[in-house]
Amino acid sequence: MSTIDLLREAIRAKLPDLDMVLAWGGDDPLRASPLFIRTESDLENLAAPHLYVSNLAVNLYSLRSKKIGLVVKGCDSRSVIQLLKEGLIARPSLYIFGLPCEGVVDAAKINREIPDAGRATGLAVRSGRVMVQTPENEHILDLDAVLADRCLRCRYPNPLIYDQLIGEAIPVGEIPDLYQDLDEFEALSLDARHDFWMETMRRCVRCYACRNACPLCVCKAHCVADSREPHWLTLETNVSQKWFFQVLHSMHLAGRCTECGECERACPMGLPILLMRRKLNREIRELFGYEAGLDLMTTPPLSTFSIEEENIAEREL
Amino acid sequence: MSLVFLARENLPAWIGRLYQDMAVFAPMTINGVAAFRALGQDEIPDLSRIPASSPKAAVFPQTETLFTFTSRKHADDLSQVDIDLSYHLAEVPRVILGARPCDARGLKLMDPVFGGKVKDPYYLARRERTIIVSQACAMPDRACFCPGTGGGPYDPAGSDLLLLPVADGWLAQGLTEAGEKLLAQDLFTPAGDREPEAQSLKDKAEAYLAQAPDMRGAEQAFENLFKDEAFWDQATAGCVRCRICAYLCPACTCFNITDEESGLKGERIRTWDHCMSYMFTQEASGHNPRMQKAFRMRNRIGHKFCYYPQLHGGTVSCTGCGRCVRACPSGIDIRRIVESMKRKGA
Repeated sequence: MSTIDLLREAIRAKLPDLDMVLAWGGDDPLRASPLFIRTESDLENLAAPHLYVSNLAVNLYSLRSKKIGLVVKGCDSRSVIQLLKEGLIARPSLYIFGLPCEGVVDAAKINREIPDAGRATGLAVRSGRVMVQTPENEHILDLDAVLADRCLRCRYPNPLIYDQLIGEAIPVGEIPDLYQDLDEFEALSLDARHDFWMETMRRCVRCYACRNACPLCVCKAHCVADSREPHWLTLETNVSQKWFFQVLHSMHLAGRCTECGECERACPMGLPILLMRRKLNREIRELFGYEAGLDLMTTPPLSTFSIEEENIAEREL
Repeated sequence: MSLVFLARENLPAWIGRLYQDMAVFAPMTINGVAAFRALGQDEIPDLSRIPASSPKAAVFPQTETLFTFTSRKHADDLSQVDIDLSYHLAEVPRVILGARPCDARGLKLMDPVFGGKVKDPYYLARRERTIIVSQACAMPDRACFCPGTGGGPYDPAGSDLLLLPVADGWLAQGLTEAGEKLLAQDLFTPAGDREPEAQSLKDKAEAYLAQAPDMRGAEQAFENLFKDEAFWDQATAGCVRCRICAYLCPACTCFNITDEESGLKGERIRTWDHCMSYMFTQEASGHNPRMQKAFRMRNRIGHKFCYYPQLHGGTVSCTGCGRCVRACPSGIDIRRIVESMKRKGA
């Protein structure tokens, strides 16, 4: 049986015990949408696995009073672990279908590669190639050129938490994330980095899609960015307010962010904002030897403290 | 009105001349995303893609100062304070270049909101000084549905000048006096026999959009479904309550007004608001009549496809530009919501 058939049958079997199952569906050939499966007929709308781009864990906090089935890729499973670890959701109300993932395609990259991608009628992935059909053309792209960035450095294609694994786990070697993108950026001068972020913020429309698509951003309506009392941010859409918000968002995710990339994927302006989260994650890794969402036992470093931190020489400051 | 031809290589020179007399708002592409902005000198827009944002900010900026205020304490009695107010209205003429026909119609939909019974001087000062140069859509995409809202990929409504794409440039069609004036340049040459080429692209674009669902006439269906919570719950299930759909929409007009002050000085500003956010209807008492996102989506759909058309002769407050569909991180498609509303609420 194909992965999608295995998944469909697994969901069908568990559906009677659950309020709903969150998976991916829809008719967009370049990306699947969240699919809320409540009845068996909804199962007909399941999309193909290479389109499972979004992280469905974003819905868990607001659905925490329900009995939810959730399909997770390896990267998504880390968000679930982090939410559980922070006590934001409860394990008993969750049934997890773990889906070993070979990578998902990034519609934004396809749009950059192909001028008429917006007219695509179909997409197929075969032996390292992606075929995109439009009314006028058939385009063939290298899969690596259009895989989501996070897939290119993926270390966890297999879910780290699940009740049921769909298909076989994917063998995975040791692939360290060397943060090459960050190294290249940090090699620029301070002025160049400043200019880069100011220009990026100029294009930001302050739509909060980055915040709201983030599975770990659970404050929602109580976000400091929306608060009028206290009045931390103004409602102006100038560069300084937008920069303030982006820095706040990144700081609040330090040691919590699993780098699922949903902030960047959701951005309607295509801004490279994951880079900021990665910067803080590397700091956390170097200071505390910690990565978010890998296990249920450890405590996130910013949720605790040691009298003397091993890698922070407080007394020498 | 006769057509004239603008060669693609003459576009920068034309923009350069426009730039001398007015602010030019046009789409710039960065990292594969085209968005409207006020061009700097010698910046050349990208007219090849459907812009991710609408050009409405040229007449309805995301943030605008209504007035500034300064408090002055009396030196002899510090409890006495005078307040100085100052404001100014936009004076700089502007041109929106590379709007799509759906964008031009979007501005037409905003006009009765800001220029109807109540006249909004800030909006009108900009609007009256704005010339709209639209580019017809030879390559609509699968998110487009303008014919379903009463428009079309070559619809001239609301534009001062319409550029019809041909292989090596555009045929320009002046639609108003202001638009015609922009053509009085040696950069434009007679169109000769190019019209059939433009016509053939128009026919193809219209054929591509022939299946667009009709978004009009849903007023009664909406009212019938108003209390159907399950319907609105399902329609909104994936929504993450961001503001993309309203901010990219060429027809959304809701705004907020706040005082942003520091010390004795401040500004009263108007900023875009968004109906999917919790704060939209949060009352000072703490009560929120639209607690759930489903109710907020109901309001969003109702506003566009029931309340607005009831006030404006059946015209929906949506131009089928497809921007909300393209950019929604959860893949929510407003066409599917209205279609199922018409089906279930019939």
